[in-house]
Amino acid sequence: MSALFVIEGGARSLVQDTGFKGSRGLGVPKSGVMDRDALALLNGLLGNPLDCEAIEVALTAPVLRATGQVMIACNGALSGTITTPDGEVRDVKPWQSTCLFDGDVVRFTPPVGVGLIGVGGGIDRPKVLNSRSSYPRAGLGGVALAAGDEIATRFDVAIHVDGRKFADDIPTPTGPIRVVRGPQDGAFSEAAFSTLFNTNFDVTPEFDRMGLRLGGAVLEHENGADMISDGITAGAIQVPGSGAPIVLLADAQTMGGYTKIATVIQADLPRFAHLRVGDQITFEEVSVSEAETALRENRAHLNALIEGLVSAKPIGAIDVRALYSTNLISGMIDMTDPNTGENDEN
Amino acid sequence: MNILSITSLADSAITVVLDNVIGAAAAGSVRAAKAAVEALDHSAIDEVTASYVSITVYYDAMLLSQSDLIDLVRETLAPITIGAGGAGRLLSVPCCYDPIYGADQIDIAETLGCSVDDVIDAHLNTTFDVYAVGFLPGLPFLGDMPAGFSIPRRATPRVKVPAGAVAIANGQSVIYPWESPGGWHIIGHCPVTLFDPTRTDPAVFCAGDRVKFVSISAENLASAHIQEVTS
Repeated sequence: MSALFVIEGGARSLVQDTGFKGSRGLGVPKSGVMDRDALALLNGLLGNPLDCEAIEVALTAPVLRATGQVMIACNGALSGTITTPDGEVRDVKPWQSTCLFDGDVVRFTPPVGVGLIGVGGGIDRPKVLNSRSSYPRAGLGGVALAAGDEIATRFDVAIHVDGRKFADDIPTPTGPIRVVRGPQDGAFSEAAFSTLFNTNFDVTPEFDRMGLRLGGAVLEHENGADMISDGITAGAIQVPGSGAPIVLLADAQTMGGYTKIATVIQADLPRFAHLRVGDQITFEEVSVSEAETALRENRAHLNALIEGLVSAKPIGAIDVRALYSTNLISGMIDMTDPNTGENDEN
Repeated sequence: MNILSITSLADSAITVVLDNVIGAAAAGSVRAAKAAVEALDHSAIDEVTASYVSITVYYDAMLLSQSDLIDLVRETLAPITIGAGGAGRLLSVPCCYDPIYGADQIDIAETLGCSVDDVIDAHLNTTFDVYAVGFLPGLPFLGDMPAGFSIPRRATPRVKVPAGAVAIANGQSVIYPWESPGGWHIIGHCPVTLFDPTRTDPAVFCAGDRVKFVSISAENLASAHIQEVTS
């Protein structure tokens, strides 16, 4: 199997998939990627199962060197460059798959928001709680990538030396973030809801995988913030005594004793992966059935994007690297490097 | 079974509230309700969790609408009686009450106006219900301490409570699986690893279990283990 050698780990690079299964009853967060849509799209590009694990990065991205041919793809938060063993440099563009050849070193720019790097063939890590997600606080799954680690793939995918991309652009969602009232909507005054739906909230620096504290307004309780602890999910907006709302995210604790005024719908949860400190957000109320419709539309849209993949080879351009690895001249290349030219799709 | 309310966590989950007072009665309802919904083994239900007075049902809205899920949960719980499915597992849990492990024993006794032995006896003689597991991975919330042994949390939480600390507050008891900050009063030490991600079942406790502490000496810490008591 091919592999990626970690030259630099990046500030916080964690293997994540769609999260642990059945973990909440143990007091373990669901975890998993902050942006499930990006995970599905990158896996679609690479030919992986759509829930396959990827590398989620924050602040700075890892520097990786390929052993053998490895397909990678990154989300819109990242872009990068590849340096070949011969010193040639080529680009890694977001939202398209790129073939790394043996010895290629890939460097990414610091992510804008949460970056995600998909690997064709997945990442060979043992499963814990039926997942390859990481929750380092409890020693579940892996720790953050560090220099010297080797990331082996665990299954074969088709190698596309030109890379592939989506026929349509990946939209950037805008407008209010949609929420459903509750579960403790009865604990808040109508004034609190009016504030919730008419305030430009600030993204404060208190923002990590557990949650995001919002600034800009406080939400009034009817009878205090405390309640008998109950179950929590990512997207729940809990309001402690200070009145400053906290949107709980992927690594949210499993139960909590603060009232939750509303919950972000699943279709809009990935947007939190791309907020930056100083951004402003607004909320809009929808019903549960509107949330379910939005989820179905979101999934249908992702599937349509994934079904519309095209070659990323620029029309009319000659990609020298691709040319050298086609069967047309592979006999010549094979004489100098027996690994080059294998696994070509052509 | 009487349902007080069913509320939405958007299209991710529903919370079914079964009682409004924390206690053994609520724990019985919660245990029976969780078991009944789990027994459906429904492909759209991802997980059912239990807390003090409620269960939360996490579901896949691509496979089942929330209104259908609510109907299903109501139908399932309607014929269920409290105590259905029997009592939870009874686990005997070692605890060393040697003063070197009970940093707050004297403070607790002074606050409650009794002796340290009274506090330890109350803790030892109680069969606790695991009301919930949370706050930290594997941390069990155990209730209730006998009447008269409820003490508010420390005014200033400790920055570090050692892993294994057994502590009490607000009429309940906890065991810290990890070194962590904490505001509960420490009365003893449980030497068993409560959460191990390399085990098939990483957490020892789940909501609905019952716990009876057994006193062990400091010399026997290494050999102590948790046992299921069968009657």
